[in-house]
Amino acid sequence: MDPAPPATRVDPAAGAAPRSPKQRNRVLRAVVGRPASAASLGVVTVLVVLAIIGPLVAPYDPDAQDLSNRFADPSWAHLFGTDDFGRDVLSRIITASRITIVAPLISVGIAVAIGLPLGLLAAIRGGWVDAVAGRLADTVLALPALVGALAIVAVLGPGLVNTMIAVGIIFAPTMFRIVRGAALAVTEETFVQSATAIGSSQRRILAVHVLPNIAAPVLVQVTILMGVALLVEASLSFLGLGVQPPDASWGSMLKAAYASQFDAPYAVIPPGVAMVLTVLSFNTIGDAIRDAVGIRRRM
Amino acid sequence: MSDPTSPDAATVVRATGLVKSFPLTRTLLGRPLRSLRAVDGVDLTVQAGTTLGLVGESGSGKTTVGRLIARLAEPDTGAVEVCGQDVTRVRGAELKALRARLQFIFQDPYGALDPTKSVGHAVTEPLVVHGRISAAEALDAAGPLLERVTLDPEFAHRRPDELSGGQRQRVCIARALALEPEVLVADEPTSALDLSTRSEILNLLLDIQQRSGQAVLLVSHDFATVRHLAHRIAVMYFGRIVEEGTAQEIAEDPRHPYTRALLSAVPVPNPDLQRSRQRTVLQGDLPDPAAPPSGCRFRSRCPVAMDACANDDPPLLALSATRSVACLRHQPSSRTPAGVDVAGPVETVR
Amino acid sequence: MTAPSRPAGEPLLSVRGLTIDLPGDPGQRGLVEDVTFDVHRGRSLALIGESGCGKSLTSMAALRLLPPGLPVRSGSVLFDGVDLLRCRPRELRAVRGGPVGIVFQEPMSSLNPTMTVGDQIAEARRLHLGESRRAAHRRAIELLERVGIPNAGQRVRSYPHELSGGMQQRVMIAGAIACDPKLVIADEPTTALDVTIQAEILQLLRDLQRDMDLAVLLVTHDLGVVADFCDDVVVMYAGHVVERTSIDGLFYDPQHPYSSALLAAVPQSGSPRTRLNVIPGRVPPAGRFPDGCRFRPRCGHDLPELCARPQVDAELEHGHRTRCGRVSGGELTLEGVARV
Repeated sequence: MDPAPPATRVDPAAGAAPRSPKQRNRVLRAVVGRPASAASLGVVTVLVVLAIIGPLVAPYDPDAQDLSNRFADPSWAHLFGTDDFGRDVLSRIITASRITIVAPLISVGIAVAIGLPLGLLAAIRGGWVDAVAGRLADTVLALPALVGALAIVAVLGPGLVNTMIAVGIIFAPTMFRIVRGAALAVTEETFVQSATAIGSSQRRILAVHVLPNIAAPVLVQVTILMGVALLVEASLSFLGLGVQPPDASWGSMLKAAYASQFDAPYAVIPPGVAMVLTVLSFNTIGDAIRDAVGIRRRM
Repeated sequence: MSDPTSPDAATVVRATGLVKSFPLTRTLLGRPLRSLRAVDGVDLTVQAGTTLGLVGESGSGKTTVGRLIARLAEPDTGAVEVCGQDVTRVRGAELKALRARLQFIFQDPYGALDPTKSVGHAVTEPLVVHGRISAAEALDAAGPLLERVTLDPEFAHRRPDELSGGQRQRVCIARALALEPEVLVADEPTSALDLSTRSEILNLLLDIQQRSGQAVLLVSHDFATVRHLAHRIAVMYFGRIVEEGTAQEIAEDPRHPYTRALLSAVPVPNPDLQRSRQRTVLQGDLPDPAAPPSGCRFRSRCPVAMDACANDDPPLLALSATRSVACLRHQPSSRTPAGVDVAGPVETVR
Repeated sequence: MTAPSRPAGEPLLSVRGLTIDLPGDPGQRGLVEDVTFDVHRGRSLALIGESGCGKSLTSMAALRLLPPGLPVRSGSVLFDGVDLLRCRPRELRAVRGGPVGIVFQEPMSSLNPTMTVGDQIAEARRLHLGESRRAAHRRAIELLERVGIPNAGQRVRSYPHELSGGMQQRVMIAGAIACDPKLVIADEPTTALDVTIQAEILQLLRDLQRDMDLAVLLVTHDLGVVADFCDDVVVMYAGHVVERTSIDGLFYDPQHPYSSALLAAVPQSGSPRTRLNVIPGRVPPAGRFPDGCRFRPRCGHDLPELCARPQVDAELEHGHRTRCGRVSGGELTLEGVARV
């Protein structure tokens, strides 16, 4: 998916004027500079790497059943034990990381693709555009997220992709609000007026002055939504609306482990811990970015 | 350059009958319910190579006039001409062409620079936007522009937040000068700066005009700054110009009671002078901007108000070739012997 | 009118050797160092300098109103014989808002938005003088009348946001003088106001000063206000007092290069469109103050062998004091504003 809306297409001249990447560096430094957020970045990186090369490093075929070896305790052969079909839990966790990372990306991507251009438009145009978009966002926000997602899935049909699209639509108003608020604040800054005064087009102002200045809050929101989307995907998969067997996500694995809690009480731990760790990491990174932005704003 | 204060110098900016209202409250659908006339019929001209100081207190509408002339806002009625061309409602390419001829210097050098862009980007952006240079040439172009405001070309690589207030205002001025505009509108260019930095910027503004001969509209609440820089001064009160004249006339022989009060309220940094001055301390606050007094707007605070002031709204009338005043006390009908010294026939300016 | 002569007798407020450390840098180049000055009964003293010079810090420290974490290392602040830096919190509270009134720059953020202005003024009377609610309320109306608020009987029930900036500052002043103070400390009281309103407020302060024999400590950066309102001046630069004198001494006979440079940086009405003096550089940030004379890096009269050494506060004639060794050594003469 491509979150860049037409309104933000960069003027040919815009990107090339002298520009140093210091702002981005500052954010990056703030994230790496703290042990907690640096570790979180590590977790996310490992996750991304696993999502890409997972099948190559997984010790077993994640779908290979071994019914004679159901609910095996953790051992050197099966580090996290086996599940109700005798499949290796470690391999399934590793393989499921792809879905775990791609599913929230779909949702957040859709949220950005809808929320960013509409938010910018509402901030720049104001008037009825702002009013209509705002009411629409309020309406969607008024629905509890999970219920809303269920309703959309009922229309689109079940399946992971449809579910995550639904979640993305539910997220869009939040993203819209963040973008609109941040862009509104930036457009009132004197430097935007100054850009108008030298004759910049509105498109250039958006691309060169507004977008970089709202990037940080948007990024914070993206990390938060990534965490939430991951949990929503897990919840929906837990309810059977997400990933369909034999594919696995951490949520569906949790569901399976929950169903067999009397046979293998520790089986909830691997997917549960993986999930908690990942969500925590996204949120910690978000916090670090937010603090870095705070520093910039205070100057 | 010939005497820049002479009335026949080329008129670069001419504003006529500017009116601008702002909504105070709106209906649910965004229709204005109650509005305030920030600018209510302002005429002014700025000659080539000269500075017109527009002075007034908060709520006088001086900043709005500056923004109307710089086309950062559009008037409800009235017109702005720059070099003879009506620019009041130009759009698109014409508006962009106007931007190259008329530049604005903002009050707040801290907010006027994009924190995510380098100083070099800020000063060369006008040239890139107007296609005078390619983006690739921008870094090279930054040096000379910065040198014009006596900043080291090395500053091109810095970020705004590494600069002091004075340095930032220099960058803003360099940016405004990049397109070699014929007109500069400066809105309180020094009021966000510290004492010793202020003199730096005032010197720079003087140098620039002496070198390049721009017409400058200087908007300020600080009479000392305006007196120092301006050739002519227009005093605004409540959306109107109440008095206009050469800087010397206004400073040394103010006629409008508001101008007199304003000047006497500005403390002079010279104790002997300050002790010997007569103070006219006004009574009361500014009136409610949404409901100005009938007749003359100043009458609620005016020490010499008459009954007639409640009925007649005095127009800005010429007292001499260089001076006009909007006050019933200075109109032909009620002219007092001591008050007015009219050289030629009285004519209506508005 | 001649320049007011130096007053005799005990000063009302006496600040001696006040030193405030930079947090995390104890003992090193204090934010405010060895600040000494007196405010005399019925007189007004201006504390001037650019931002970052420590003038607000000094005035706040005098009433122990510094934010926590800014330790006063040494010095004393004697008010009427009581050392405010060492007295018990009870005594301190009795002084603040009682015999010492305070006026801040931003009236809107200094007044409580949820209380009527009358209650805020009455509170001081009730707290300090133990007056009844009714008596304090009556007194609040009188005070509002005294500071020139029309319809005081009704205005007393207004909330701060219902008043204009000038009116709010009048209310602040009414609160400051509520308990018949001997001293009012005013930190940039007119900076946020329009100049005609500023003139009204200064006139009010002048009248109050005359009627109540008030001493005023005025923190300001506006030399015009100093010339208009004050008797004596303390010039601060980078946490040091660099010069102490009467206003005539400052304007016509400055004895510190910083004072002289400041005077020359201000436009004078007689010479429009001329170049003004520029003080190169800027006030160094706290903690990066140079050794010796702190103004040295920006000074046009810097002599390394003399100015790199710590400068002592020396008395010249007429009680005029300077912290410039070159001036007190008699080898440097400075220019002020031309007399008229």
